[in-house]
Amino acid sequence: MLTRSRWITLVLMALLLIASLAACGDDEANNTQTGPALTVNEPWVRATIPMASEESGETEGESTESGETGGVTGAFMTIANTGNEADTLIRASVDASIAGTVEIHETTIDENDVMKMRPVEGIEIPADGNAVLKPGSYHIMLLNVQRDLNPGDTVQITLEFASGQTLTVDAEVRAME
Amino acid sequence: MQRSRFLLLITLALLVSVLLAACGSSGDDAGPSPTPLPGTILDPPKEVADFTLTDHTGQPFSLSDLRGKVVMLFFGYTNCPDVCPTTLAEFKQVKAQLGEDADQVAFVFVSVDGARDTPERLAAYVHAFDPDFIGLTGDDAAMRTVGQDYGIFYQRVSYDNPDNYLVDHTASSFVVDQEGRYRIVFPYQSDPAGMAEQIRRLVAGQ
Ligand SMILES: [Cu+2]
Repeated sequence: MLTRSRWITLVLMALLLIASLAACGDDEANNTQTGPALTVNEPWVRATIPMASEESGETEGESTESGETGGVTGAFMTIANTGNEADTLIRASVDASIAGTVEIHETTIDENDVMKMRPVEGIEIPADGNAVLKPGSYHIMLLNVQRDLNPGDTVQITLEFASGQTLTVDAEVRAME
Repeated sequence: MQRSRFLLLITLALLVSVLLAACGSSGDDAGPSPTPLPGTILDPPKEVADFTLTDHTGQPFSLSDLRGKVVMLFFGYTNCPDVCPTTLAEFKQVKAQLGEDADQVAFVFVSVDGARDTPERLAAYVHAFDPDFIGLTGDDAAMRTVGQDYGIFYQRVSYDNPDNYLVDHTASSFVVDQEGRYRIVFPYQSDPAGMAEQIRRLVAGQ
């Protein structure tokens, strides 16, 4: 049977061992990897409402009550980070012939089942982790969309990260449903 | 602390947790429902006022035009890229699950963004999901009355893009019965099969 003091000594020794092992692990990681390492999986864009039946004759830049002349849609994907440092998606862009404005948004559902969509400064991709952009959560919002995006189309999206890295992905357009 | 007292404490703690667990499970046994249904049923049903808005063809449309059918209502806006299409896609699944009973059910998307959601835009939107879906839109005054009956919250939100605004809104779906009474509320992302089951019961007059 252990006395109280011997027991405390044992615990302290164990803690010391764990701490030293953890420090050791960090050193190893620093030696083998450098910063974030990002890949993008399954990028997709939701098809837009067909505009053909709508009057599209609005003058460029004309201010209407609704402001934006085109429709909106969202782009979704998983951004994986196998590196040992976090990174942050800070900007996304598409060709001006696709959409006039691109923003990074987060949708949340509060405790009263109220949906709130808000622009965010960025989306963090944790070290050795993922950021999932999906309906009802983070997404890249395309505003003032300039043409119908139909299932099967591809939208090229450029992603800029806080680390300075830029990735370009081809997102497949999927049906609205 | 003495070892024997320590053991005694541990034993007591284990005993208490076992007892609590037994309590909990006996409670579960009382109501065996393998897959709980997603909707909250209003009992008694809530009497709600009829309302008239503009439909996706530009014509006046009243809730009472759907008397005799079960009506599934969702409030949203077409510039919503994720929650609204997700829900309408689920409506489509509910309709498919209902099979022949779907004839007795109307699926209605009510815009809380009358300023931007014209009938044309609504038509394109709801019909991208199903040709039978109905789109309704109306001005703020008309919508306010409707919103109060169903406890809908919605609010325009401006942000640093002056050309756009966002609309916070309740993401639940609401079910009105054949007599125009509000009967069920489904939270966002309810299981379509579960929703279909609860709607089927209303169709059957249960
Ligand atoms: Cu958005």
